[in-house]
Amino acid sequence: MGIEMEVEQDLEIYLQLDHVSKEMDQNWILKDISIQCKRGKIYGFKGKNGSGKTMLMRIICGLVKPTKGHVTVGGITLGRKHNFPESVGALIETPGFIGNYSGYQNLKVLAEIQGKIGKKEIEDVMAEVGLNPKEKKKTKKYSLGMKQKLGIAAAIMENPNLIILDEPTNALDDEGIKNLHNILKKHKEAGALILISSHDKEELEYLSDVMIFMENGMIKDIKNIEIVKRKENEE
Amino acid sequence: MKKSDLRLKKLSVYSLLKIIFRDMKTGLLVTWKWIFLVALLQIVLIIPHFQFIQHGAWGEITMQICTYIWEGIPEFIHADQGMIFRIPVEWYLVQLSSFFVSVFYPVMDYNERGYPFLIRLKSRGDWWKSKLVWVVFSTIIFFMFLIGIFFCTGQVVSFIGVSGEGSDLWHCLRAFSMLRKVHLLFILPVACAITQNIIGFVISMEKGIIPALVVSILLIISAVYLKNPFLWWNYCMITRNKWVAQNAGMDTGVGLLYMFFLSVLFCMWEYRNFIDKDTVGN
Repeated sequence: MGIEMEVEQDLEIYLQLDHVSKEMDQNWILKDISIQCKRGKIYGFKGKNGSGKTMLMRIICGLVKPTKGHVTVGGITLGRKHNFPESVGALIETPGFIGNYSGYQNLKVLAEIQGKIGKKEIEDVMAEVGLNPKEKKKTKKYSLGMKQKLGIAAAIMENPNLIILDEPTNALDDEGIKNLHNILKKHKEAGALILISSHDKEELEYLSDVMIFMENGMIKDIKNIEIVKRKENEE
Repeated sequence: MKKSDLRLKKLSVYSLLKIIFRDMKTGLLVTWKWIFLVALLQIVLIIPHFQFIQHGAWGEITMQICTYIWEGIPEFIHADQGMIFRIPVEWYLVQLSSFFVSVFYPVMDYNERGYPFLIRLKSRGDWWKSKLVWVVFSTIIFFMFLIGIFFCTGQVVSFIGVSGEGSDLWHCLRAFSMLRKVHLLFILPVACAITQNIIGFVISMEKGIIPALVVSILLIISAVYLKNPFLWWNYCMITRNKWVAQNAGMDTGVGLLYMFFLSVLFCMWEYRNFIDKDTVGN
């Protein structure tokens, strides 16, 4: 029932950025970004290092305040009253965890804050990303790839409406990437809006419905991949 | 107030309490080794002093150890030429260790794993309030643990046997009421440490833990050299207290009020700052 309702709202604009700019240390890191993103779609952000992808994702999460402009998520404009979006999961850069806790314990600590999910859901999501929920290994002994998987699990475990993944394929092996593809597909079908950034153009094109190309803090181009692929097939 | 508003408020209080509980648990897990290490180091440092301890009831031996640590020194900068400057190592160690125990965890939590918590909490204010509670709580726990260790050490020493005559300062304190003793040996040191740790926490959040540490050290050292009511560490030296140095001492009541005012001021200022702060690390 829940999934059906969310799919019905597929075309709902869930995220809106109005003339968002960010200045830090007298440098304009983002310049006049305006986009609208709909639920049930994957938006891929492509750009070189320093193009502003990560900063934009931080602003959408509510971690950084825009110098100019507004961010509206699910009809709520972020600001002093609403610091963060109502339902968001994020993986931005290398995630940090409590080193002395196992992967499961780390996720449990996070899940307890909102109390939306329990043991079973945590174990399921860990298995989904390719981690063993029963493993007692402390996260300080995790490899980079395992930390990345745990970061992805943390971002998606509460089935948020907005999922933000900054370079999620970093340090992942082939199996991890395959798992990630399945996860994104599942959440997209459930009606989540997914924002993903990557250096890998092919990877992004494969995953995304819409590609957003960024350069020097500005949106250089927006491509609807579905239309591009349809045209290519016709040709 | 509408029923729905009341329900939301209750939920928000419940969520804040949960995060406070989580911080207490995780913070202690991160810092307990340090607390234990400092307590052991303190015992090693005070062992040579045991020969001066006067035999007495269990509480008295603990109080003598505390008196030795929080004795402080007379103001040095205007001291007579013949005065020997004794660096109060045990005193410094307690104050600086309390800074590390309290401030390290919130800074680490914010810098290393802050954002997953922040975005789930939905409120920067709640995150900050919870960490403030941690700073106060951890300082009190640290001092209670330290005094507990002193008490246990006192029992062992008492069992082995002590035959000292007790310090002059201890003989002076013995005549005081229990309330005054509690003020001098527990409330004032804890209040001074809480003030320092709140200010250290604020500086750490704004400028980083190293500048906060430098400021804390400078404040502690300047208080040792200068007898000044604005340098609150003066209130943590028994020899400078008005009850002991009657004509030229520091007033306990004024000190507690001043420290409370200073802490509240810093808290309010940083709370406003933190709400608008950009989280650019993890």
